[in-house]
Amino acid sequence: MTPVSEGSEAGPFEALGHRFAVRSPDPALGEWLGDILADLRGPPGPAPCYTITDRGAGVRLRWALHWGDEQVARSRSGARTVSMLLWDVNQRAAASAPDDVLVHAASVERDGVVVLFPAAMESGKSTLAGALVRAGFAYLSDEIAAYDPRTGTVRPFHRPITLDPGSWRVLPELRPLVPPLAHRYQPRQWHVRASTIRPDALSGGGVARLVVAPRYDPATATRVEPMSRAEMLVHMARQTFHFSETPVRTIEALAELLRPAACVRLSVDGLDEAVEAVGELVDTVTRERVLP
Amino acid sequence: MTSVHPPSRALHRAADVAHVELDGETVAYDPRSGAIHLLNPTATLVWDLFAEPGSVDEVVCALADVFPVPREILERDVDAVTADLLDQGLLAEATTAALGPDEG
Repeated sequence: MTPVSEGSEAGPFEALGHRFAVRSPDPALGEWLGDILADLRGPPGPAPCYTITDRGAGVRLRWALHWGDEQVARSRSGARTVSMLLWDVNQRAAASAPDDVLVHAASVERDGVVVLFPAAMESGKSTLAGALVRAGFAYLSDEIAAYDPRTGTVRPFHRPITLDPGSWRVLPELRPLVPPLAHRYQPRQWHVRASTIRPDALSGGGVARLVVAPRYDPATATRVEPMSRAEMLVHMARQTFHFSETPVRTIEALAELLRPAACVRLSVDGLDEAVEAVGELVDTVTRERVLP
Repeated sequence: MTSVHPPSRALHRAADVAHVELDGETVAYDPRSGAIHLLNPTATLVWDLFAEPGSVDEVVCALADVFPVPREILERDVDAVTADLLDQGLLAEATTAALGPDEG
């Protein structure tokens, strides 16, 4: 087994309430992980550790990922192990915030207006988040919106924006720089740190003032349709983690999240059109005009 | 569609339905079916009036006090909304316990 050498620990990081560091056997891997997770950097101090180990070429499932003493995954490839690490970080981040209402949503912010895009998995949230950050919006998250009912605000979860190959051609300038020695660890996804798009791209969160149900429809022109807050609540409830476990608390919290927000359904036929439409909606909300 | 007749039978909100009102509409979650329902403003009004056990007749009377609409139109609309709410499992027959000792 390749020993973990000193100097290949990255962190500490904080993903919502999940504090962690990562030890890895290859300094090139450790350095790369430290880079892609840098927007999650937490205050200095001890942190529980993920440990990545490599038992060497003679072992079929040579790579292992542990959280403390708990084995999380075994794999034949370092790239797969990195994928499992990022997945586990998401899972534990979601579990670390039991008082928050967690919604599958991208979230960004501009001019103090936090915008949520609740939508199902694999619906293009990350692509939209990446495009909006590229266009000047500040980044909260591309996957999980964490609403804190105690403060009435959406908290940031600055995980790297994860882009599948299908999105690469529409966001080519977001291609991350991966050090040559770390190429073999890169999963078949881009992990884009928002602060590499712009140094000032990280939002501290805030009150949601605009909630957009996005729908990609190449057959029709871009259009915006108002939704009632109750309609949007139904939509968001279907995207909420663990809804059926705490339905009363969840729908009450979602109602409070939505009370200060304008709600629309946005049908778009292209990414640039989506970014333009969202910009105009934020302009409108900023001017405090009443949407029809 | 479920019949609401006779209109004098006592109905009540189904137990354990979680609900919240937003801008005159109601979102209701039924844990038995896992279904989330959106009630428009008219259905919300009727739903509100069935917070206490009552009959369709009583709901129509309550609405007639507020809305200057011919009674037969109110009866038709309340019948339709109540039938929908019964079909969706959001309303149920009021039990003797819910009616109270003097009304059982």
